[in-house]
Amino acid sequence: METFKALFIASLKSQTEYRFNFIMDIILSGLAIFSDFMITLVILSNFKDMAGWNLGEIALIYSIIEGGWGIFRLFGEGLHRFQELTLSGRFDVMLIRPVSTVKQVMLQKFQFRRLGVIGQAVGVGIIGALYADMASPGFFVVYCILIVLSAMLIFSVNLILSAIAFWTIRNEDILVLASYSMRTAAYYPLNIYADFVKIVLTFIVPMATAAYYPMSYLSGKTDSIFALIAPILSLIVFMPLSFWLWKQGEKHYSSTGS
Amino acid sequence: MKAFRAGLAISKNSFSRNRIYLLNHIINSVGSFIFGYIAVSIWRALLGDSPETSAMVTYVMVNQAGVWITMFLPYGAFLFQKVNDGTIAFDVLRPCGLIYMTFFEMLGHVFYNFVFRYIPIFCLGFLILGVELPALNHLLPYILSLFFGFVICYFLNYFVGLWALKFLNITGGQAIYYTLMNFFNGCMIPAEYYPGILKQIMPLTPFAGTSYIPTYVYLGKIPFLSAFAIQGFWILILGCLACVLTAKVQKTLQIQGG
Amino acid sequence: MSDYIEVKKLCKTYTVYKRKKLRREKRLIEAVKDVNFNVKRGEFLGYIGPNGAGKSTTIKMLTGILTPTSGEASVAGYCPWKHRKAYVRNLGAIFGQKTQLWWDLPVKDSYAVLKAMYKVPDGKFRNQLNYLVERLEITEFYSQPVRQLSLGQRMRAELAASLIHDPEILFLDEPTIGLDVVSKHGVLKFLRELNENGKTIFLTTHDLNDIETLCKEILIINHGKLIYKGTLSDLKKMAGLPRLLKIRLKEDSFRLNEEQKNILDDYSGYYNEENREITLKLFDSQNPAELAKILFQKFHIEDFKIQEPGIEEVVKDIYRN
Repeated sequence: METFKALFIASLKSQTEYRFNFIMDIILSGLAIFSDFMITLVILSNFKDMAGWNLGEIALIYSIIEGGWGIFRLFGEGLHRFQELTLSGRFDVMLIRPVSTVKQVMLQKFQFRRLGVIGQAVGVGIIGALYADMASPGFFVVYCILIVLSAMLIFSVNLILSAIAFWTIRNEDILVLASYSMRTAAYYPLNIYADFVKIVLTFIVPMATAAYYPMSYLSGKTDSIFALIAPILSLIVFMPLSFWLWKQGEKHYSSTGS
Repeated sequence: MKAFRAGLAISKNSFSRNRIYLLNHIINSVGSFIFGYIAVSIWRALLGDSPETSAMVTYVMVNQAGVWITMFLPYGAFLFQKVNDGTIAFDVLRPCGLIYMTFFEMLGHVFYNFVFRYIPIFCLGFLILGVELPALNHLLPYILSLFFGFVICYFLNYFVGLWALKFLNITGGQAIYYTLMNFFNGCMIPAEYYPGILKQIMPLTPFAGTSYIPTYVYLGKIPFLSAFAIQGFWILILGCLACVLTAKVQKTLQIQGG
Repeated sequence: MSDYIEVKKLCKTYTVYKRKKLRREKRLIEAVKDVNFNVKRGEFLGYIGPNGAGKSTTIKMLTGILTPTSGEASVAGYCPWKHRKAYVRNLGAIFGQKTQLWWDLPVKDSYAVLKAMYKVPDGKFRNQLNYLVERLEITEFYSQPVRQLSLGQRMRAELAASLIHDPEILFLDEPTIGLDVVSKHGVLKFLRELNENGKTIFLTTHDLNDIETLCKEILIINHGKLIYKGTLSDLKKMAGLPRLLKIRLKEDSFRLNEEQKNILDDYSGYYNEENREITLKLFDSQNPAELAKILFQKFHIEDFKIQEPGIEEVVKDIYRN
């Protein structure tokens, strides 16, 4: 925790040194991600709903995924760029310090301009909740919890994808494939996809459990309580799995010394 | 033809440099196909089973294959990276201009993308999603229009590169580029779905010239002459602008390059 | 186990795959073969060997980054790869170009993060930092982001980073690579001072002159095998390389006659006509004074000197055999 605080303060200071640049970066990187949602907005201006989901509900799904993604990218930039460490061999340095390597990789960098991403996600979420007539204090508490769970789930998925680099050295492409495309797929209601894709998004890269399932409960499309706690269920499986895989990778690394 | 000899050598070089990472590119072609699949699923959910749907499937998938030629060029046409690692010095020293150099470098890159990304993505779309082949008399105009789309895209990326040289930071320029492209290139939605006046404005933007217009030529939904007129107009304008801006940054460039 | 570092039968084998026409083929590479040595506390040990000899592999095993295929090692009572987390608290290391600082942060903030990682108490941190900043002349770039530092500055900052938690043992892999003469001199002096204050230092470098100025003890490894362990002076004696007698002839008589050529042959000498320089090997059995007498009689000599064999020649000679 001390280490986290030290890095947090130091990164914040160094990134806000040029205040104008910093604010511009926040706004522009938020805007770039927001343009994805604008497309959805334009599409839905022509149609009443998408497979039974109205604009507000889709906005909430988007917001939970994107909010979690933004939080992950704020604190997990180091994990996202893990291959830089394996490519340069700088991962060695992490092994000679008395702190777990996952933590150290996370502590490589905090990227505060992702605040823009989080900001636009929350904005879309609030407007979406009002539009879908779901806004209430209780709802927003659940909404905040869902965003945090979504961040944790994205973290686990990325930890698994990063661990691949222990064997392959490079993992950027598999990261883009699994992480970006599955995240984008999870922006939209799961029932628009073919069954095969539904299974992948629920059980293999479980991004749909972060937002689609809990939202189908909260918007009254299903009464199953399992839908609401889907993110917790997938975290129970994926969190230990991801740490286990990382450990295996680390062992592999220290026996081949790539 | 002589004037292009050096350029083609540059292109060839940049083409072969890419081949080392073929496996990685296959992986991200699959990712790109998934993005296309998401778009296809959305339209199928919205339009149901209608002839309109199959045209839309073809539209989004052809765009998705095309983004590797007319949207995702290397950040800032490699300029920023070259300033960072100092290799810009060599480029400034060369007898041919910066625009000439970077253009042919991108051309080689894009030719590679055409063979190893465009074609595979298109084939997957054809085999799995039922993308329609172009009418024979649309093929040549389409290829020409796609090439014009690339030229426009090249200039836009070149501007991002110049922005990065000026501000020593690529985030902002790249974010603006991505936002405008994402919203106006029509990759996911053709012009007629845009609200209000945007319906008329969108096709006239340079961004639409990269995806919307070539793919509408493919589908034969736009008169070829007006397509070429819009693209030609922008190539002329952007080309002149590129010359003016290059002259302006040349000075900064020489300082940083030296 | 009584010595500070004990290494027994250490082996490391890598599996590499080579692509053949039909299928790939498995090949084992023995990077380190049956290496044994002991190091006492407070020693300054130089570890040398040509590229690919197994130096880095050994260091990686001793710092706990790599797990060996077989064999044992103990450093300060810990087995590096088994008790990694407990062991590394007392370890400082520098790996050539792999930075351990935060690229975008000012130097001082990197230290603050490291302080938190190693849980260094405030008081101790302040003292240690003051000492390091002053001694390594870090003040001038203390508040600059690491990416803006010159190579020399960065190496000094790295050294300080590896010492912030005041470790007892230091593993330095190429700490002087790319440094200019002045910074190098400063770094070497500082390392000697650390050693005098009781730190055990394990140094690998390409620059044998560094070793000659710093290390009392050296280890030489080649093809994965340890081929020498002992003091530098013993090494020179053992190698038994001859001293060299170098003579420059006067300008008017640079062409050798038959008699002179015979003398050269007798003493297995070598003549470089361009520089007008004769080189003769002086073995211990020969009396230099007598040889000089003969030479002065037969040649017109402008200048002459006797050269001791440098460590560079000694090591080259050892690699060859």
